[in-house]
Amino acid sequence: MSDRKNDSNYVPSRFLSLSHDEDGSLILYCARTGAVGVVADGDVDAARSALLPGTVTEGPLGGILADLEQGGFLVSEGVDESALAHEDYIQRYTDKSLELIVMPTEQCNFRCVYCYEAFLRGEMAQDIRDGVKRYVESQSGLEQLTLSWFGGEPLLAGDVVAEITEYCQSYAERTGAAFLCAATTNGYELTPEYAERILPLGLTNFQISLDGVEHDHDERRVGANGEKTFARIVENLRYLHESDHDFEVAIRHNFDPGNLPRVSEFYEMLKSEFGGDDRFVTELQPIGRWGGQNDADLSVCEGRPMLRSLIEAKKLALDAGFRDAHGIDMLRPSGATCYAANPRSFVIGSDGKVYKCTVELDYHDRNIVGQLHGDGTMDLDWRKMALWTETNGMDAGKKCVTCYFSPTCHGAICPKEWMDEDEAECPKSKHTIGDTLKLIRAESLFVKPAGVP
Amino acid sequence: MNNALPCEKLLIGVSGSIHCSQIGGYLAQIRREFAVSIRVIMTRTACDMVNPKTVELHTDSPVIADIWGTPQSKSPHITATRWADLFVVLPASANILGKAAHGIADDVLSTAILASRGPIAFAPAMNPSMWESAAVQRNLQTLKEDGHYIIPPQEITSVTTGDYDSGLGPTPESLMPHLWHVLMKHTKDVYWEEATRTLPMTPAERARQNLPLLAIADKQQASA
Ligand SMILES: Cc1cc2nc3c(=O)[nH]c(=O)nc-3n(C[C@H](O)[C@H](O)[C@H](O)COP(=O)(O)O)c2cc1C
Ligand code: SF4
Ligand code: SF4
Repeated sequence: MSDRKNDSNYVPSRFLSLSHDEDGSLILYCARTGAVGVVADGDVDAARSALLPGTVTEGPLGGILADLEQGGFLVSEGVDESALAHEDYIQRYTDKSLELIVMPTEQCNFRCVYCYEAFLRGEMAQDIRDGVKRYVESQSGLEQLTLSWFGGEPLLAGDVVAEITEYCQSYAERTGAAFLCAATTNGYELTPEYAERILPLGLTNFQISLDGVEHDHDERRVGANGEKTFARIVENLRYLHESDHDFEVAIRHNFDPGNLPRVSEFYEMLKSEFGGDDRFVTELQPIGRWGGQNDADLSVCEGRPMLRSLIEAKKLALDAGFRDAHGIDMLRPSGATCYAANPRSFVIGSDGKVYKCTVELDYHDRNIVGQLHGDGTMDLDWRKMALWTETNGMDAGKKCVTCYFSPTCHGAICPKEWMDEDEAECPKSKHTIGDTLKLIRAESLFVKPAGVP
Repeated sequence: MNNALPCEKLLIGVSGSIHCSQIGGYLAQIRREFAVSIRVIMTRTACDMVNPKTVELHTDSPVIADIWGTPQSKSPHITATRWADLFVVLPASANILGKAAHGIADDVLSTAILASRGPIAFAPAMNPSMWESAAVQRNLQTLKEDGHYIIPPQEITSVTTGDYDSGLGPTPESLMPHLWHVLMKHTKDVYWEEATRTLPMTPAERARQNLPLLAIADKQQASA
């Protein structure tokens, strides 16, 4: 368009990251397009010199340089890449997608040592369930509907989950919208009977925490009456593994200095149970002091050592044959933004209260952004909504304005942190970009995720 | 369905780009999706290009086309700009961009722009040769530096002297996400300090400080 000064000259993208792999090849990442590319040894010198900051390459391009242009690593001189990234990001204000994160109950059958929830409210009443369905029904032109079950422990309200999931799946079928349904569950109630009931209704994605080998897990993820939980969860997972169903289970490992020494034993255990089943993927999260009762007693991993441990543990998971649940997705345009920053994402409490952040819940009035009614209408306070959808990161002088990773993150990795701290911590994938790219490359060699060039 | 539109009070300045012949369509969409109440200021050229009576079909009050305003809105450059939650110039002619960039206040729209306290969103529309001129590009840069927001124009087909020609301007699809963004960012900026004055506290943290729970009524409901 008119803001192109000269179409025949090319310069390196300002959203570029480079990493050298052990075999001499160059791994490239362009945060604006989300492209990850590998330049083989023979082409590395040509690619590197064209990608050196300040280099201008005359077109027309051929060979490796043409490939670089295709991935967005080289751009026409004069193209305003920041404007393109911004234009892309504000599309979240259009109403083509909707994400509902629903708490069918706030009760839980676990008392994990790091939990911050208060278990205040019970099962969602029928009028709010009807409200959720009617709210979905009132949408027009929806291209993507995402329904995420959250709690408390959502499967304690298994009937509510089944009723609304079934409704949303049929809505999506009727209207042609793509449908994705996921649950963050402790896995205890994902029994064979319930799995047989819920999978055909469209709930096929699960995030289930196993905090290490059996005794590590049982020390951290404790039943509400003090009981052990590991054996039953693994038994439920075994049933899924042996079934023919189409699903994805992300096994989340919450780590701390206590269970970290046995992380390799943990992945060996996972490998022996579920290895080679690509329906099982893994994710890792350092345990934090999230505002629960035991915060003062928790020992946590922090800073650089935590990032190192994270990468090491990811390597072990990969060696055991498990894909990272988020790996390449976190590098896609807007891939590292929190759902709270999405104006079309709402957390629906079991009493119909509408929140943005699943950590802040009703611990601050600013997060109670509205109320869903039984007739399917939603009252929203746009003043509060604005706090979550527009962070301070992109304000003049703030760190995100000049950040090479910003099309992935837009300063919206955690809107809450921008409110509580001077600035939000950058995503771990940015801090560890070199290793992250190597892991993504390694992963693409045994299974190629969609979109990897 | 959401019960409330995001913008309570929207002020739209219409200037003399021929793109203003589309203003009825924009106003209908904005009323449906975005703003509860709309007031419109039009330049003299804009009034020659589109009849204000047609515009008034979509607004709750008469079009403001004169610095003396209307009986309902006297000295509109002050009253209308103080009233508005968001001010957008749609379409923005090269002329109004130049005046805004240089603080010229010689008619009601340019004076309102100068008198406005908040950031203004400009949606330029013009022939590519005007857009690419050094003067327009300079003025755009100045406006951005002054804290205003430019909605990047798309390639559109516009009618000029009776011939069809290629032009640059907003489209309904491209306009709306920008309006949302500018409004929400401004709203956030205004509310930020109040909303972040106190830190959130989980029930466990409140208990540690012997503070009452926020949601006592809800707790009773859960145990019922
Ligand atoms: C038929 C016609 C179409 C015009 N279209 C445009 C246009 O799209 N953009 C623009 O900047 N000026 C356009 N102009 C020129 C402006 O109308 C002219 O510069 C005028 O002084 C603008 O005044 P205003 O900014 O006070 O409305 C057009 C003029 C005519 C006669
Ligand atoms: S939070 Fe960090 S990674 Fe995200 S845009 Fe800002 S500076 Fe970049
Ligand atoms: S705003 Fe931050 S704390 Fe809240 S859900 Fe998003 S990432 Fe988590």
